[in-house]
Amino acid sequence: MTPNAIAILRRHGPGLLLVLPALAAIGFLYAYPLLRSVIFAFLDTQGGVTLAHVSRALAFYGRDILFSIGVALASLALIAVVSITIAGYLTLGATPWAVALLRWLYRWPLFIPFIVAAQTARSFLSRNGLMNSVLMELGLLSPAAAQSLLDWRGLILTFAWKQVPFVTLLLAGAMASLDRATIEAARNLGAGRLRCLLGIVLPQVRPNLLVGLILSLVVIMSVLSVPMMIVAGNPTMMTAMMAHRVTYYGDYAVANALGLFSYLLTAFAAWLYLRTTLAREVRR
Amino acid sequence: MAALELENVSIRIGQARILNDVSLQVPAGSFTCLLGPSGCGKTTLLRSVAGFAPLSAGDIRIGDRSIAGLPPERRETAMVFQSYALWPHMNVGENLAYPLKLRGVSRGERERRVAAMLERLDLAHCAKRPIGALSGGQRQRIALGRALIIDPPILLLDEPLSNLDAAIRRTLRTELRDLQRRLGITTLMVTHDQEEALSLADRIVLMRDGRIIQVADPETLYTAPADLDTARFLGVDNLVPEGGATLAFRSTQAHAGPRALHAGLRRQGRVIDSTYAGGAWRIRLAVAELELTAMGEASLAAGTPAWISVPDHALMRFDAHRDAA
Repeated sequence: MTPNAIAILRRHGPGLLLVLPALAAIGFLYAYPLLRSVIFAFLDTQGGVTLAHVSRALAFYGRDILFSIGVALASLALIAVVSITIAGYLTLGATPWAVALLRWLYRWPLFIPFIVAAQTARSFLSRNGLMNSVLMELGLLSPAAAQSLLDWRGLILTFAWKQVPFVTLLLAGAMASLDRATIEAARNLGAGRLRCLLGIVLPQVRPNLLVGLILSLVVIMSVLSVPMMIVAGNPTMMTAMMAHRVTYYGDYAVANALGLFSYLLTAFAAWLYLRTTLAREVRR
Repeated sequence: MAALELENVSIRIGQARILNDVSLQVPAGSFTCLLGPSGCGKTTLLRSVAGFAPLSAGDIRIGDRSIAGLPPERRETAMVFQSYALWPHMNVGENLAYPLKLRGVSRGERERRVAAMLERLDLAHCAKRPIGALSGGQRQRIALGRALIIDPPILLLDEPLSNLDAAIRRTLRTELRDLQRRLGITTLMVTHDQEEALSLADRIVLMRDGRIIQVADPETLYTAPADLDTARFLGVDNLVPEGGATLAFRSTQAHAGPRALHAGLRRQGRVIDSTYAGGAWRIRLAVAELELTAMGEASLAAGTPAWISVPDHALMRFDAHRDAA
């Protein structure tokens, strides 16, 4: 080794050594499988390039893809509305005991695994489930009108139930770190609490909300247990169809092609996020 | 007539009494300063008027309307914060327009009033700028404009100048005073800076330990503080016991030199040291068991005998029982 090379190694060696494990983990456990699955979505058995898997995936599962997108967007909308409401109340609420209680309560679903959440949702939302029983006991629902919510509605409710605490946590943290005086100035100059939430607080924490929603989208697009347990037939979420394709047919190619649509969806969301936050940075 | 009136206001947080039975009348059009050491309750008093510190007892009225039970947004007081509290997601013009928007003012009227306010603040070129591009002084001017744009009956200022450097603070102080005089708006300002209070206010409310100690015009407060602690807070740094009373005076109003002057109080002592204080020397003297400070035209060597002379008008007398209280 030349003295020069040794000097470079001395200077950068420790840093390189520290970064290496993380880099290797990302490379082998994430980047490589991702790249492999994308490539295999376009390869036929002879190793030639083909669009057959993608078109098969579209032909067989086009409805499921649209269903997944619809459920994901509706879940995100519900998550956003509920999280903003809870975090807003935690920040602007005027009743100390109610704020304390809510702060203590809202995190619980974070610690419950998806499979348990799905199981709970099943027994809560089914035709003879807890929700309908309670509604019937209260005389708010006639037994004849009782229906099962174990379809897209069940999916949306379960996803929201699981992800609301997470997004609320991010949002409430961001709201708590705002300069309190900006909120007080708005109230002082005539904004009620709702106006203040929508006009002053929310615009300042919008990047945090977007991060929470995008991470939730990734979760929704990857959780298998919830669609498996809640939705019986078709259409269902892409994750369930991918698992089906792999476990029953050993057909990794079409599963990979389906996965491609998941990546595209999350990548699109990430791009939207980057675009809006970058625009904000430039404006400042 | 009082534009703002506080009646037996008490604020308790847990066991701590922040404000203790405070009553105050703020005359219409006056510039009133709440002055006191930190922790005396002056900021809490201001925040209670704005509705951010709930009262444990008492009432607050603007004119003859009680506002104690109203939420902040319905009190029609306009507050300027120490941290400016401009909304970072809006540009300068939007910050000024938002209070008008909240009041349902039409777009055209909003634009007209924002432009007029920017003109008045001498910041007409800044309308489209983001808040981050403004200097501290510009930010505080915009914050002031945002408060004034709604023509509030009461302007509340919470240490508005204390985050600015000395030169800008002096300029803004003058601007603030001029603006307040021109608009004739009743103003209540919190400050811990006595120089600021003395030069801005036409009435000063001196507070300590959650109580009002003295309400007076600046000159009266400066020359006749209510008690010894107040005097000390206002820069009275020499105390001479005499009989049952205490004579007090400021170093800046006392003279030190080799000869005594014709004065109300004369004492001889020995020089401890002399330090230059710009234009004059600050001389410390040991007088019997006391240590006194006065100003002299020339430096005096340590250990030399010297006289300290205080003119009558600079002497304040505090009775012992009042000091104890």
